[in-house]
Amino acid sequence: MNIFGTVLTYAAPSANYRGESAENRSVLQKITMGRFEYPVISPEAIRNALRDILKELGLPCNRERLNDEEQLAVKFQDYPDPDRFADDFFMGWLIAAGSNDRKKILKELKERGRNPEIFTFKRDSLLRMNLAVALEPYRYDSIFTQSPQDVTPKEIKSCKNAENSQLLHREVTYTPFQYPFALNLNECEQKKDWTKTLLKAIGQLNGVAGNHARSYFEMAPASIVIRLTDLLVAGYSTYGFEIKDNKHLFPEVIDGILHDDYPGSEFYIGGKVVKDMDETQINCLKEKGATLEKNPQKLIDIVAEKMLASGE
Amino acid sequence: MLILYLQAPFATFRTFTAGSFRPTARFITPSAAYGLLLNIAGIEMRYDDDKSVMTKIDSGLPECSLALAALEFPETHSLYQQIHNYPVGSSGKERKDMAKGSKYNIVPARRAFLSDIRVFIALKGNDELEEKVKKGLAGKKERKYGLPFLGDNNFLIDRLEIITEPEPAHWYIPLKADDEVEYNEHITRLTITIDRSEMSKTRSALFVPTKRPVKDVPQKAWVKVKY
Repeated sequence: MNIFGTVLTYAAPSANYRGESAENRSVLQKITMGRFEYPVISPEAIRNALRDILKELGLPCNRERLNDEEQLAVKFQDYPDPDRFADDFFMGWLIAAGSNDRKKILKELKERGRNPEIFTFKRDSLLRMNLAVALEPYRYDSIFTQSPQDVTPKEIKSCKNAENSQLLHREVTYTPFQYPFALNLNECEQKKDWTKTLLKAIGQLNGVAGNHARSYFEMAPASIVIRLTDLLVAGYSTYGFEIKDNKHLFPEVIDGILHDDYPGSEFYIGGKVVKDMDETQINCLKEKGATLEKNPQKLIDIVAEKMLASGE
Repeated sequence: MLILYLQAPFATFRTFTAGSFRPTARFITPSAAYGLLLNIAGIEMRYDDDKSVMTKIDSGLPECSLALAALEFPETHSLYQQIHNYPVGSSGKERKDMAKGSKYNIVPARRAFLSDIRVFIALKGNDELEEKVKKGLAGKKERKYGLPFLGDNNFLIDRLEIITEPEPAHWYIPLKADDEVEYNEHITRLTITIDRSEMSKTRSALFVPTKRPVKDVPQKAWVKVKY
């Protein structure tokens, strides 16, 4: 059994995910689709935030960010251990070690009482994600701010970031984002409770890509579509959310269920996309076996229960 | 013969590179298509010899012939990212121990990728593999391979299904040394089989897609994949 989901966030101003700055201009990451450029947020940034949330929700995590180093840095408690650490279990790892390093690492593991026989130097990520793509194209909006000059006397503070007031220039966009995720539930079998917590974390995703002091942007679902299926692929465009007249729509799946192109019983639809439907459509979808819930976090709980109940 | 329709929002098919720019082939490579088919069929092709840094490829893998076609040519993009790496030289060495074997340095890099993948993958010459692919697609095969992806485990597939009546598409033809080719902006080098430990053993060819979409797989489009 596999789970495929697409999350659509609420719209809000954001300037979180930046590429290399162009002098004092903080640029948003964008990709060109058709005739327009759309801001994107990388799956790596989302996964990094998920690690933090898993930790906040009480799961043991191996990797932590060090926020006070000269460059971006992370620290690990131990060599990867999917039985002990949730982030290792879900996100996988790669230790590129040649034969000498391998011997050294295996010896270290043995000395620490770990079983070198079951240790692997590589493991695929069980959690699959993709770029979060904005629904609205970037419209060349930017915000100028200015930092004040620091006139603290040198005898009190000898080091300053800059001698003068700085003009700061950041690109900003007002848009929701959508991103897909997927899990092979058979691989999650050993850690059902952790998997439940991971889904909960997706329902409460926040703190992605930094700069929230000025660009607080939640990545939690405003709407969500989930498919539980034995198929190896979702079977529809996982970037299928559209917004028309402020209504959340996922036409390929919704119409597909109504026309029996997809088995309704495999689909779980939640959040604003349900709130925006009329009673007739809700009833038709329910008749086809789809599960609908106005609260996206509740829908995720229903999926988690269903997943655990099915023995997956 | 089996023809699969593959649709994905994003994909990347990395050539062998290190450094700050991570390029992608401009179309799905036969080597990647073969890896995807084995993934679906539940055939493990990775091999850990307990010695090598890189992932090696197992022996005794099924032979087959593949042909690839674009319904639409993908777009190429690139993004700047702060990526974790094992540096060449001494950058970040003070963090090596605290990273416990994982990549201990973080640097900006530009990663190229493709969007809007709409591809036909045709397979022939191995009935047993065809059968395993069919079973795998239907979720009827024991697999230990996770969910399929395209070149980066973040790049998921939207649709992968068997097609009985393929619509016209641009089939990629491998070029021979003496072939005369009309200029075509989509001419590209694609890897057929790869060897991560000895680059000279990687097989590749220049491929050119048919100028116009054609319905039947051209005989010249078939390439043998044999490890």
